[in-house]
Amino acid sequence: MSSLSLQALTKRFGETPVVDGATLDVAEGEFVSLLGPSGCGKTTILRMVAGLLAPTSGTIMIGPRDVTRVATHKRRIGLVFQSYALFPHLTVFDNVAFGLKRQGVKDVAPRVAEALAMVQLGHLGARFPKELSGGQQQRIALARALAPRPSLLLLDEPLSNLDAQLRDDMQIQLKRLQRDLGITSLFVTHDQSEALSLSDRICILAHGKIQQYASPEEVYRRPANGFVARFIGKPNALTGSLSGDRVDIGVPLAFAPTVALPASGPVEVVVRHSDVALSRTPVTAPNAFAATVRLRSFVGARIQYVVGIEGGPEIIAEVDANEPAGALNVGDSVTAVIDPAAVYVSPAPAGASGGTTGQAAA
Amino acid sequence: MKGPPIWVTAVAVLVLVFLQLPVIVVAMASVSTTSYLTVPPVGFTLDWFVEVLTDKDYLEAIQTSFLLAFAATAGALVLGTAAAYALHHRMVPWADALASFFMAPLIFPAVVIGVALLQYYALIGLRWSFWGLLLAHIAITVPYVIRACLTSLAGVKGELEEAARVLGASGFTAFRLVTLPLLKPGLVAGAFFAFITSLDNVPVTIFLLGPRQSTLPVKIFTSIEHGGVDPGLAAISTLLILVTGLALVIAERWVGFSRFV
Amino acid sequence: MRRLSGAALVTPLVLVLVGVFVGPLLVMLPTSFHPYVPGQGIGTSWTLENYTVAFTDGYYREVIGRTLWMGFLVTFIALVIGYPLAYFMARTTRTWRAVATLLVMFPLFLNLVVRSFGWIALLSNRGVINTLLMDLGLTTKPIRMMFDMTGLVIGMVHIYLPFMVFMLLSSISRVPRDVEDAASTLSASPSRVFWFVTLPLTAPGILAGCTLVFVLTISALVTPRLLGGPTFKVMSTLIYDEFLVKLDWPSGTAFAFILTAIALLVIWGANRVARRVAGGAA
Repeated sequence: MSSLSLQALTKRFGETPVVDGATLDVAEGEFVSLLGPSGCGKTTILRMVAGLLAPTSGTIMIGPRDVTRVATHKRRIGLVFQSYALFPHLTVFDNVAFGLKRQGVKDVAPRVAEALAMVQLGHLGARFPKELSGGQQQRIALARALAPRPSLLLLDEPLSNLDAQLRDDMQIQLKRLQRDLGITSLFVTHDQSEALSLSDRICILAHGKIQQYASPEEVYRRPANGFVARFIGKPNALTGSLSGDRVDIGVPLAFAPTVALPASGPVEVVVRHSDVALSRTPVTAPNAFAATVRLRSFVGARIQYVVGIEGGPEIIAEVDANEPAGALNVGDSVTAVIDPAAVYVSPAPAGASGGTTGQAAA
Repeated sequence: MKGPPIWVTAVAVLVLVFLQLPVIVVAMASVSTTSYLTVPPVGFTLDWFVEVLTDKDYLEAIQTSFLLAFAATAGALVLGTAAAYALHHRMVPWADALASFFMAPLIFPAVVIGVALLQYYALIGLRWSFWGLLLAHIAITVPYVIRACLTSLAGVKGELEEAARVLGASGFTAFRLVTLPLLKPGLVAGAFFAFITSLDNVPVTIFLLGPRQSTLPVKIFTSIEHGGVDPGLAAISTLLILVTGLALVIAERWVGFSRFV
Repeated sequence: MRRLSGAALVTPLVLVLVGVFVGPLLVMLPTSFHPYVPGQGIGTSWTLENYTVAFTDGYYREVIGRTLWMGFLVTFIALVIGYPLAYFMARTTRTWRAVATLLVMFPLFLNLVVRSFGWIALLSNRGVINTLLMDLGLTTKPIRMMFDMTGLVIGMVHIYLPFMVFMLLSSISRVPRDVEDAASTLSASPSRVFWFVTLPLTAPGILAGCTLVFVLTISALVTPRLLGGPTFKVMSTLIYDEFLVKLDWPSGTAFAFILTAIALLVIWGANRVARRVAGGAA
């Protein structure tokens, strides 16, 4: 196992930087997700780490070894593709044996059996990929990547082609396997719940730049900027203007500043659905507003309300179905309470350090 | 994305040059002032072009060739489009077998079709007739139309015509207003292939021509066969090169037809 | 209703093809079983000799052997030089691919007679190549490149190479880049990626391209006639002469059917192989 270190990694296609000075350290045995919307550069970073794409500048270290200019086949990595990319002309056994043979392993059979056993598909060795279900192909792709015992495992949205039920099962299998093998892993995804549940640390990207690199809890509880706040959780994205220590969204909203803000002017305000509490009885607290329930929808264990704040905007609140607030009806008058610590304010427009034209590129 | 290795590029360029070699040689030979074929040309003259373009035999052959190619293309377009439409929508039984049958002249030895028609036309009294020649040319050009049409039809969603019918268009109107415009690139490409194939054909045509008849390629063929390799032949060949090249570029610009190859 | 309009759409074409393709072949079949009577033409008695002589007579056997050998050589060379070109076209930039496509298509659409004529100008004793070689002092006497296998194969490769390239191109373009990338992440060097992944995955395209080129080559008339001359014969030029020069139709028709049988046999065999390969893997 090895650590991975990226220093000021940059990739430009023509003039446009797709990855812009990404610096990132992944410790030995750590599971790190690259999370961001499509076009944020996460797959580009992964392909550069794999050596399938040459960086414009910057360095890539696997363990103590600088591999920036090393060809893919000499990097000793494993890569699981979104499309699985199984060799259609080879059996499952030969697919898994491919990397072993290239490394000159004499007796491949036990190693293949071991890899197939890891994904519980030891009985499918003689099949061809087209004879397998999507979930089975996915697991074979994983076994194939792991069989040569790579120093680094790269995963490019490996679960996105599976249906929801299978995806949850695979998430658990993947996490257990990674934990047991202790293999350093870099996982690309656009699905925040996947990243939050699997990762030791999450690296959030936008417009080719790293926005925040921290543990899932940290990213969720203390978003580094407006972009992260909007991207993680289900946000109410509002606009307002600063006036003193409050932000005016139609009603004055108290908040705890997390980033440097100008003295006045337009700002973006993010409040997560789950951070809006509703109560039938009046409450005395900062940010308690009179409001009316306009819509109610049942989303499994939770209830989602659209509430109109008197004199302010419509916002979405999500509460536990078991709470008293879970039994509100359309038309009810309520008090909406928002914890000032859960209000993320950032300068408009983008606010994220992604540059001025970043918004359009996303 | 990594490009191809350098040696592959080098081989590719050499092969591309090889493919253009005879074309370049013919074009160069056509402007030589000498009466025999020589490359590089000696001097520069366009006299050979004037000579072949005022030669009555050549003009007649050119006329026959183009008339035949236009008529065959038109015939192949009508018959081929109709058949391809029926095949695509599986409106007939054994659609796959029929499709193979329609494509057969493409791979069948042309010289065999030629000699078979020679005997057959003599038997049914179509010998040396333009109509006999035309029917034969339709048979050998129709596979190109069908192939291009089927490729195009595969790209036209069936729901489009259904949507037109729901909006009140009759079957044929729906075809004319929706499917046909979407088929246009395929039809143009198919027509182009058909035209070129007809204009190019020797192995079938040569067996069906009467004593005083000729098409352009057959005339060039027989001239070379009888040892007459001169700059006049190079000139008429160069004209064919220019016409083909021009048609190719226009057709590619117009419908991007290389995807129908 | 649907059946009826379907029939109306295909019937005209079926009639044309039965009239000028199937009909003539059926009419020709009995001719091949009649003897040739000099001065009279087709005899009335029945015989198998037109067929047996093709396999017993040394001259005819040589022509058939030469035709097949030419088919093999042309196919092999077209594959070897066509694959790098097709690979280049599949993997280069859009612009270069478009340029190369036009450059491959141009000779394809250029009149066959004109192209053969170009090769005569290049290969004949007083042609471009010999003149160049003699001017450079590399040879004193012209090297014979026409009216033998060399010239014929060069000319035929030129004519049928575009078919091979387009067949291979569509096949190579369909190889998923991910699958090749997967092989390199599994420690396969670029050449191993090619031999173990790209090449096997394009095998169906190779088979289809080779079949097409082989069948077209053994059936070609114009180029063998012009570059092989009247003496260096292959099957199609032999048929041509039997019909138009010797007027021995029975022998010509027998050869026509033998040529057809070989072509169909090759296509049938290739289809079987393709099906078996497809049944196992890809």
